[in-house]
Amino acid sequence: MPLAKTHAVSLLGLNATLIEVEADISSQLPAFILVGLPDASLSEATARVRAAVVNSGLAWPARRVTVNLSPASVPKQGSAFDLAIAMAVLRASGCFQRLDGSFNVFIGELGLDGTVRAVPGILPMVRAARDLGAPFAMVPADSIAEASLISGIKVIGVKSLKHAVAVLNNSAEGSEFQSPAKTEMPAIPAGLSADISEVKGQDFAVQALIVAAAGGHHMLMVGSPGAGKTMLAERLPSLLPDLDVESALESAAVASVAGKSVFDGSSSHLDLRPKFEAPHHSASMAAIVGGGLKTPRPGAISLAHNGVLFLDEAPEFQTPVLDALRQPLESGEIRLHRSAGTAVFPARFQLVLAANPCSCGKAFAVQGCQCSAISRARYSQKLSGPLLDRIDMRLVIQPVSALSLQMYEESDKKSPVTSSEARSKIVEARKAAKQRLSLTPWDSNSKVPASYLRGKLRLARHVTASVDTALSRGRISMRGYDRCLRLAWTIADIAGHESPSSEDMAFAVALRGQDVPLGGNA
Amino acid sequence: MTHDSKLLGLLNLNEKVLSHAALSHAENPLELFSAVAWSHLTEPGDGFAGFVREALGGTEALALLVAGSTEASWLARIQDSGGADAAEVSFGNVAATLQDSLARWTQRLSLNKVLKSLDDAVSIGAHLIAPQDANWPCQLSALKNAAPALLWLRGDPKALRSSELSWAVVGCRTPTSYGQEATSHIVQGLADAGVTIVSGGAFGIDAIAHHSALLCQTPTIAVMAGGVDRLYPKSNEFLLSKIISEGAVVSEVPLATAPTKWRFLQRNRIIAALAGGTVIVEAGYRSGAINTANHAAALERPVAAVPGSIFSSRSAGCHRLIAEDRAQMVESAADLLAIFPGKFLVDQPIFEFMAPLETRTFDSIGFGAPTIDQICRDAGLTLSEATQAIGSLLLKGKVLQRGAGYQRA
Repeated sequence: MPLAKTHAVSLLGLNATLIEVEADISSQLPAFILVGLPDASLSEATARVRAAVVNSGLAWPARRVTVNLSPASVPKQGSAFDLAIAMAVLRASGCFQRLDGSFNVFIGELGLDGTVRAVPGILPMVRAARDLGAPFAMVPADSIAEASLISGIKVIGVKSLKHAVAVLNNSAEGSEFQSPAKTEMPAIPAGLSADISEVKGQDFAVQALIVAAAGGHHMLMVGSPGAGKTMLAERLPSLLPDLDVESALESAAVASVAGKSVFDGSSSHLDLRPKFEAPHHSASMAAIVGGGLKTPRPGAISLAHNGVLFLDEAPEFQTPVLDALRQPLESGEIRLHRSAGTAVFPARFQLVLAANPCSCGKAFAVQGCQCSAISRARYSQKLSGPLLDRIDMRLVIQPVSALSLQMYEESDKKSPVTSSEARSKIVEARKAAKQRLSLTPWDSNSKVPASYLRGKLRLARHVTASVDTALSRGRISMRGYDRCLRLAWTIADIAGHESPSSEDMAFAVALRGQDVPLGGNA
Repeated sequence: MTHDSKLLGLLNLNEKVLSHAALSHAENPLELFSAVAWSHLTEPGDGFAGFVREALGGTEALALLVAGSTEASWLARIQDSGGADAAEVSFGNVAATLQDSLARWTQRLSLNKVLKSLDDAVSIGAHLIAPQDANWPCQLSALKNAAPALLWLRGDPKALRSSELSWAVVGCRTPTSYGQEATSHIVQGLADAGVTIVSGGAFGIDAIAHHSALLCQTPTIAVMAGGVDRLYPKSNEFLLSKIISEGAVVSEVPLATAPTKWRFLQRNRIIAALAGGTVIVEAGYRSGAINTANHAAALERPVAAVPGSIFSSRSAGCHRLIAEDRAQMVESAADLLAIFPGKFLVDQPIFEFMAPLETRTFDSIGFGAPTIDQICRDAGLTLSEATQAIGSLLLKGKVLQRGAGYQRA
């Protein structure tokens, strides 16, 4: 059988293309030629595959071996094609009885000794193989747990090339690497490290965090160093409900492409918890939005997909990086155009920004701040208007004084809200919002555009009367008005109201904060 | 029926005309037809036309006109109807007035024009509201002979029903920012009381009054000087089309009639008669709004005016009305509702007072800038009470955010 065919998967972003790997053995001088637009790393496959075959004790044909990756127009890169190439060559040289022309997908990198090594992106590759109708996929043994998350396709994990051959020849050696039993989805999320009840003496901020979690509202926290901004932000994920399996798989696919674990801790359960990404403010554009020279990799915004992106010291980020967030905040995805094509990564995240009130951080302190008016103004301009427009809640946080902390500790009647208590309320609130918005393209209050809030969801006059008056007297801006409406709906959802009451509106006014809270108003 | 068919004959009309889509819904299509015809024949405010319609009946008078009856037979019919004395009081020399009027009306007799306007009414969805219609605003009868024969209406005819309890909010076309704010403030208050807002759909105060009414979801009626198919002024077309979808745009002149200076002045008489009272927000010394106020005063309807700056030329007209005791000075919707109340009782003070929780919160703020958490402790309030109170105080401009805390404004 001088001609044989296997399949592999090429990834661009999360978009997968099925690649046919054809091997031809012809009677010419011995050579190994790889064609079909491989990049440098893939061209090296010839060396790896040949050594792996020989070192596995299998015969390498002493003739001319041509391997073609088609469609040739799709750029291919990386080492994930090694296993598919080796299997195609072995099949062409007549190594198997069983491997017929059927649709089988092979994924894995080969070591020179024939070991099959894990590659990034197993999850989206196996998912693509299933979606394209492949009945089974062979993956590295290390990745079998990840590949098993995809149902509807038989996956086989192999440790080495020798084992791969044994499995396909149905010999006894291969049986020990059969796919393990499907892992059950966990009913109860694993223990959450940070709980909201640990935040002392910041009841208002905690309340605000609960509203942000319930409505998916983006949030800016301003406060002096040590006020507890980071502490609060880190506890936001603990308030978010578990993802449904579909969303969790989407997040896991991004993690997989980035070479990160898709599991919940050390277990082999799919991670259902929303992700929390907190890049440092020195991060580059590529690190935040994703990038790479030829083939883009996901950035922090995609890793935070369905979760929280926390930018501490937000004004210290490069301005272009911050402004690059605007488009994904609108569309929920990021499109990266590169020479190899356009990669699309999902990027639906809840943005939490933290900032000092001014560059010295003491604008709100009694012992005044050292900054000049110009430096304060410059600091406040770091966050652009269009970015701030997308942020519904602007919270100013003050450090808890020793005295109030003591008072807080002494008041034993107070039992602080725990994350799980709050989360059950939030789940209910989200359900209410989702039901109300079921006929619209949006699924949470934070995404509803102002025109819809003022149109279809228009509130009774007596509810908005005080805000209308404040608007007509110039006490709040039109944008501020819209943010109040958006927050009021979430507050009503939490309180279990059919639609916001005038009290909910007033609550929203206090939560929304100032239009530009930075720079200090001292 | 025989009576009607005789009239049909006199009018040279085919029975088919009465089954026209614009007429057929009426209880008496012939009467509606004659009202349409009269609205074509006369200019707004033609008192003598109103008189003959009243004395002889619209259809009969139309039949006399179509038949080209002599002045003598008209006079005989007027004598028979017993309205001759009244006519003499109103018009002095009845014979001379009749002669002029017949000359005016006859030259406009055109069945085709009437039919064309009926077709147009159907195609743009305009309603024909005659005095027999259930939605006819009866308060227009205060205009006596000058009452319109018919209203052409686009939008919801039911809006007219609410017009008895309505205020006409009118003023100049180039208001100051004070005038704009005062208009929306007053309309908001009236809307809360369920009062319908009538205005002229023009630039300035009119447009703001309509716009605020739409925002506050209270019925609003725009009275046009031209035909309701010509949304005038052009740049208010969007606003007027909103009014059509949520309220009503009406006119006494037929479709395709151009708005002229005379028709604007006569339009003001409809505004004054339609509304329960008229309030002038800002008007120059010689303004169209003063004309509306004069019409309202003539109808013995309440007239109110909003005071302004003594240095503002656009408040001069209002000040003149107040000084000459022709208008009551008002500051808010509450003052207007004291003249005649709306559907609901409301309290919309200009000066915003604090609710008890707000007072407690305000007191605890003192002269520092406590955070909400501190306010909760000091004032003994729950977190949500304090948050709501702070929200209301922010809206009322009583407190300002300062850092993480709040201070008195």
